Amino acid sequence: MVRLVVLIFVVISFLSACTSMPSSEQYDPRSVQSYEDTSKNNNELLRLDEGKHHPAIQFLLSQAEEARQQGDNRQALSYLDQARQIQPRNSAILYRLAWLNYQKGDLSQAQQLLQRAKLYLNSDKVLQQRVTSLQNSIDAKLGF
Amino acid sequence: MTTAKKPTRAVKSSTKKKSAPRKKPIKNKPQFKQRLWSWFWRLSILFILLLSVWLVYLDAQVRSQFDGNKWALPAKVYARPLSLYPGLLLSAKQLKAELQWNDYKAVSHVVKPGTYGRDGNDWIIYRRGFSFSDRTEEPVKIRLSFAEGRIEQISVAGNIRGLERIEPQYIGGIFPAHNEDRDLIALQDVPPALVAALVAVEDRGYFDHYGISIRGILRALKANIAAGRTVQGGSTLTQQLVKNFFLTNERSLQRKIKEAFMALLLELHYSKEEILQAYLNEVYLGQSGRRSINGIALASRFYFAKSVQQLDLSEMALLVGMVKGPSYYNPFRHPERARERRDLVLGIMEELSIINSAQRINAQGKDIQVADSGRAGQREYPAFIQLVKKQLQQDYRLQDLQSTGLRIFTTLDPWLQHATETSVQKHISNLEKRIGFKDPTLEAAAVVTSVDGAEVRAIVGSRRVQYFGFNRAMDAQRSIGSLAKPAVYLTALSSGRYNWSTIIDDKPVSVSGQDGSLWQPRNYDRKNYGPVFLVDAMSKSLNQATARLGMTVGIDQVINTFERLGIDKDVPPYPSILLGSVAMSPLQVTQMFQTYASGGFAMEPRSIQALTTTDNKILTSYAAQGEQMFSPHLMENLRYGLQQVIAQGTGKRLARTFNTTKIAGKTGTSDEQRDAWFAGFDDRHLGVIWVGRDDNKPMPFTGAGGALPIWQDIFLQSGLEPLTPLVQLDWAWVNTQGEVVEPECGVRQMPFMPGVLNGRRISCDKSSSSANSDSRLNDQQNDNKGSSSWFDWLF
Repeated sequence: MVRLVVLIFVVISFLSACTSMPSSEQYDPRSVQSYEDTSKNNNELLRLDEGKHHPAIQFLLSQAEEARQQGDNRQALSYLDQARQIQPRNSAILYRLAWLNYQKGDLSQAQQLLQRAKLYLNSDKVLQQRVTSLQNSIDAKLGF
Repeated sequence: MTTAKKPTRAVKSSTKKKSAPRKKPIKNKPQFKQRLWSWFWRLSILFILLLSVWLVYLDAQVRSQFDGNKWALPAKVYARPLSLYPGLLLSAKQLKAELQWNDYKAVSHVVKPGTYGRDGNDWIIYRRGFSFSDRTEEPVKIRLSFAEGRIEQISVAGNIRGLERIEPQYIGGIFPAHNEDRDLIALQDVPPALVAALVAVEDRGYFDHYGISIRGILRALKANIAAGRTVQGGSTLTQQLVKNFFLTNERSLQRKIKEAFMALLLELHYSKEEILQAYLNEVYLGQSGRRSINGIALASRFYFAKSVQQLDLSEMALLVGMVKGPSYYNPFRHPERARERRDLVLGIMEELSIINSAQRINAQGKDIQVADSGRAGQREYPAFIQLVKKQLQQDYRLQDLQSTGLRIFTTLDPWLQHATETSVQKHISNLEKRIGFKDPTLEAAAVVTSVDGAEVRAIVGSRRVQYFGFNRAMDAQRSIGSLAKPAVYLTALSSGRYNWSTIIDDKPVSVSGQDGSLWQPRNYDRKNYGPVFLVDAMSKSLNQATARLGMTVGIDQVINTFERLGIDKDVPPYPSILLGSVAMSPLQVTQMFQTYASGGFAMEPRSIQALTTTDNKILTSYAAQGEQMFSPHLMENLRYGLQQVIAQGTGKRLARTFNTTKIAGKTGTSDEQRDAWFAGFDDRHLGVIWVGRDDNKPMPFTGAGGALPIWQDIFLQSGLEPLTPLVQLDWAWVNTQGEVVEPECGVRQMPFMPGVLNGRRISCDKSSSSANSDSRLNDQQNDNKGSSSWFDWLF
């Protein structure tokens, strides 16, 4: 009986370890998608580090947000660009780059980056709405 | 002085007043003596006056140059840092190489920054502290676990991390005149034993004299007389510093006097410690190519791949010994001489009780171990540095780049650069052997960028990869041959009148120029292929079909496409540009293909990430830019054609090698095979390769035979990631007439732009006779046939 309990315990431990152990493939930056936080305002990004992302991207977005809060947009853009180089086709990163450029008044750069974000948009509805909203804002400022 | 002059004047005036003759012999002697004294004192005053003025001038010179920034500090250029994160595909070979290029030492117990080791399947890297462009990071011990070739987990002191970075490799500098390079160091950071050894060997009385040492000069004089030649110098450390810092190596009395006075003035204004610190940073300790190794800190990194603080006694003694003659005692070229000199220095150190006997014996027992001077961390990357310099000069003055110690963080990927350099060198030699050239005759250039951001990851401007000379990647203007063809086909596809299934005619073509000359291009194999699919004309690089197509869509339209692709040069409106008579540099070709690779965004290849000051303030950070010039669907459509080059055309060797057709590329060969090109991209990188001769003579191989193998080898080494579609196109089967048909009677499946198919297709029983059906496709083809007929009629 004791043996059986020990065996069951070992098997359960092994299985739980297997389920919690992240696989390296699971973190392949080419396949890990970003998802925006659905509990937040859908049309407006409030923080650069909102949402769920690849661990490296999450780290860089936190750094970018920290820099932004300190008023250092250049530094924040530098972190976002590092994130872009890890996941160059992640529309959530491209959107944030466009958003930050829009915030600092660089409409032309914001427009270019938003075009890229649109090219790689996934099924994330929140992000889709935000991209549309930002496009409208840019268009309004550009007088379209 | 004044009392001595007065009697003389009195004598003179009395001589003038009294005209009667005097007894000259009696009075002449004292008068002459007095006059002599008078002149002596006058000249002395003048001399003292001039000396004072000169000293004031020297003093101003000494103070102005010695206060504040003493040296023109070159900009230091760094590669990209190696970012480590979960999921990263990273081979052990690459990780090991990048650590070693960055002067990391493999050890069994990882306890010091700058070392690494293995713990079973895990890697432990003790990363050094480093000021990255965004923030300063402290030394940290990183544990990496791997699974299936990817990083599985990263931890630091048991805490899981999402991202860690290895500091970037130093890849060169933008040097001031004389190419002096140095790392500045404060005196308190130099080990006391090294300072003591330097003083003991070079100037024992350093702390007792005022800049010059009479005792030292006499001792040297005695030694030199005894030896019958110059064996010892009498210069103090201060004089040596003055000579190196303010003066030249000219051997003259005038220079020596100037040196002595300046040494006195230097000691008058500055402390012994300040002078010693300046000496340690100024001292010349060798040469590496064009680069002059100055200062103890850089010399320590250059010769031993260590910081000064990490030097052992043997290494300190060797560096101190080399001050006497860096070339003569060069440990790379003359290890025996270097050993003797080191042992001598160690002996002096023991004699002066800087070290004890046991330490001396231990240090003398060590071999002369120096790091490879040509290693990645100390060699230079001329082509890349030239590109960085050119791009930076758009925003900064060269003088500031050469003197203010800026730190330039770039996009260079050392692993890809290594792959590119080795591939270029290997294949150029193979080609020469195959052809039978005995002397190096061929040249090559290569550019590798990331497809999405146009970051330059590798660049080679010559087969001599470390030679600062003509950079062919940037500056060679060579005919691009068939690399121009995708622009012709893109023009056709974007007109909306063509699809890849459109049939075009590959038959002889003749175009008369304004001067009456005839342009009659032929196919490479001199054959005529007749009616062919548009896609086959491109993938097989058919000249006649392409020339016909280009003339039909219009040369001006093709030139407009070149402009939209980012080509910033005048392309003359000659028919021959359709087949690539236009000359471009490999970097310009890269820019053109970048637009295809990025999905329609025209981007200039960029080499700089960020620029910071010495105290790490970001001056500029550069981010990806690029205007969308073509729609993603149009680009995806063109990329299908470029993939067919690999699947069935002139680049099919790559499909066999990589076992995939998801690679886009184009071969290019200019007239008479003077230039061999290949441009291609996978999902991560774009590579452009050129092979040719500097004398522009023909070569017995094409782009597929000369340049493509280099591309292949680079991507074999760096790893190939098959292309993923930018967007989805509509697919349909077509028959031999290019008509969209049911799959059962189709011969090829081809992509179409959205909306073109419009749900229409011809059933199999009607397909052969229904070319005039109401499908939009056929209307287009009729248009094309009409154009073709018109064109045929015209020429």
